[in-house]
Amino acid sequence: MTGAPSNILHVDMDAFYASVEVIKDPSLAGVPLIVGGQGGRGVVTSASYEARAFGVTSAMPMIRARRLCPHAVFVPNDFSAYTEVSAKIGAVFNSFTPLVEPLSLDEAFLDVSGSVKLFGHAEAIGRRIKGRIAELGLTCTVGVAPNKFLAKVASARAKPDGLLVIRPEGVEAFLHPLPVTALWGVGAQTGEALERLGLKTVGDLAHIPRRTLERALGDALGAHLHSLAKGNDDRPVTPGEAAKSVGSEETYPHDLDDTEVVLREILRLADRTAGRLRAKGLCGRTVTLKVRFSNFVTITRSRTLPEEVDATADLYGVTRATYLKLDPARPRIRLLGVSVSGLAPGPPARQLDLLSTTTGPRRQEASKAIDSIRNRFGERALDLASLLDPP
Amino acid sequence: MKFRCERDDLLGAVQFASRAISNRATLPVLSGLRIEANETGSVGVAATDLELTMQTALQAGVDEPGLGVVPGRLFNEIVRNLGSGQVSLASGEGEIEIASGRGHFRVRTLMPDDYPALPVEEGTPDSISVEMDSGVLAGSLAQVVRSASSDESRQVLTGVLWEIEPGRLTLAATDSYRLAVSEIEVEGGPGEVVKVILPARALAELGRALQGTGGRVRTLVRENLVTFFLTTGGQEGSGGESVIASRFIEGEFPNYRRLLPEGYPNALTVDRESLLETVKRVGLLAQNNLPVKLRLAGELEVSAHTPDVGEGQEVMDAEYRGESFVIAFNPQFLHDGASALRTKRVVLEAGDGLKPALLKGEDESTFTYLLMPVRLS
Repeated sequence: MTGAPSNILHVDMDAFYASVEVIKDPSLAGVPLIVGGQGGRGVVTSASYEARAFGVTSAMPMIRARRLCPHAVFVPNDFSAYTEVSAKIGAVFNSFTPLVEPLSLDEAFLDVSGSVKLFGHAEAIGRRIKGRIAELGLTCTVGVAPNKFLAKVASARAKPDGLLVIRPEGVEAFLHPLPVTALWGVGAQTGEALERLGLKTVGDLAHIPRRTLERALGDALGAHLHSLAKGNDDRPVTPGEAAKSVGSEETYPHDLDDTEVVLREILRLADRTAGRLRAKGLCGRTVTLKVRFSNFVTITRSRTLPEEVDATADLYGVTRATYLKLDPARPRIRLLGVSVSGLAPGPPARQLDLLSTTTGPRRQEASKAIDSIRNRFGERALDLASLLDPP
Repeated sequence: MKFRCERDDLLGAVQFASRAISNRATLPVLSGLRIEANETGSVGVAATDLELTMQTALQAGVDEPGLGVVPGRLFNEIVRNLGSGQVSLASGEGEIEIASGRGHFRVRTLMPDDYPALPVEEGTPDSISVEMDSGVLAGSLAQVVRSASSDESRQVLTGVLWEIEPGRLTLAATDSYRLAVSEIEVEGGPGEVVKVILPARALAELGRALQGTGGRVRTLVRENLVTFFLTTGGQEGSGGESVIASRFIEGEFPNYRRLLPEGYPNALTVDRESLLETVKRVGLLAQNNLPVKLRLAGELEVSAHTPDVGEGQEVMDAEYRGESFVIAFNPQFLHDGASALRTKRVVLEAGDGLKPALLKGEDESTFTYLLMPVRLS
């Protein structure tokens, strides 16, 4: 049990993209509104609460959303508008504490330990933030807790437009009734494994000996979940980290132990990240590879390039070299991630070459063609040959 | 070996030769300076890294001719920190004694037998010899050398192409983003065109050595080596000529003539000084490798924008023939090109925002600068 005071805030905007669309066009207020890719394989990125009432959720295929809520208003993503509003929200956070760790455009952790003398206790700060955000025409939900994990769980429980405070003495009462899937790191796979052990709630987890969990799930994951179930999480709020980056990561059901397979997965992630960058109209200079081994040791390695990039080949070239330099003799890899930061509006301005015509413009044209084919016929319509399963 | 000389003469010679010492010497002895005193009263000071050799001579009172190799950096520092006046050097068993005023230094020497033979002797009958004004060559080098690449993975581009033909020398360098071509008149030359690629580093040293000398340069090309003999005109008592020798870079230089466009419909004429100043000012807002944008029209608008930093814009008077459009350049490359020109006004010829643009002096054709634009996002 943690004895720290509840000074960590998790602020999560409610239906952020949809709400920004309402600011842009106030006539959309109060109607079911669905934001996302409008192509055949488009995905919902945000839905207003009126649309959610029909069962529409984010990450749902657009086709399904149309079936569930045919009378909704459908709007394509406008990332530049979201980025602009996100910057205003960030400015609100920064006026209360410098310790702001943005997780994405629409959520962030804040550590207000140093600000309570100035602005009052954490709950009061949470209310003031909600007020300032309301002035922007938006609502958010704030979780206030002794650590990041609990703050995030709290905000998820209080949506929408809510504020939930977990005090140190109330952690058990809050946490124990929750399902195990509320814990960070419990996906479908682990969830099933726990269910087989008869462990359904966080309380169930907290009450069995750690050793039992470690035997069932492996030392690292077992210890990790046991600690979370007790409400412990000592990750600090690190400002700037994960701010302004675009990436993709994947946790594998089985550890990867073959360099060739690892490189193939890195290529897949690089390709996905490059596609996301271009979809958002961005490019970036710093390319980061994240590797989590089976023992939960996590390594991130970044390289900053002389020019912004947004192409698969560039991202893969860098991350591949980075991975090979790590040179794990016997890799047992649980998670891989590729991300790009140091973002600028893309496609990248590029110094053209007098002597070579193969890079630069040609590569950009190829990326454009790939994007338009995938938009029209789906993500798997066109794939890199080396990602195809061997016959 | 034993000789007396003026500290200033010695320092000049030592500093000249030391520039050939590589920080990454492959052989220990190459970190040394080779000093040879002759009966004629001349002392040669030389260094080499096997690619580049630099040798010069000073006049001295030679009591005992001989040869010694002294540790380059330390010897350089000692001489530099001596007071003006007479210095005497005497070599003993494995060491050299330096005396000046009331100071005495004894420094371990390197083995002279280990020192490689210097490629500075006269040519063979089949070598090619051309001669030119050192001021003219210095000017041409200053225009071209900085366009060479610093990327060691493209070795050929780290060099400057010398095309030697009767009466004419053409220098060309490219880092694949820009190309600089300069032509000068020479005396002599081979029957047919000879092409060699010389390392930019050696030519930078040559350019530096030629600064303000005002004499003639004799250039000797043979096998895999070019040797420059510099007569340092004007300087009294300097004791003779300096020699810079360099190996060629092996390989094929890109066919740069093919890159030069035949002529573009759009041509902008602007004052060179104003262009340099404007590009420098506006370029302050083109950070992180971002370009400056030029809107070519009756007036030239130069602008730059760095996200999260700011933007700058400036308008210049210009004469323009062609359609109005925007072309973007790396500001440093553009500045390099304009500063290499010497005319009052310069002409920028361009096809479109993606084709290489040509920068030339107005009514002047001995220097051409071809610059690849930055494609805008």
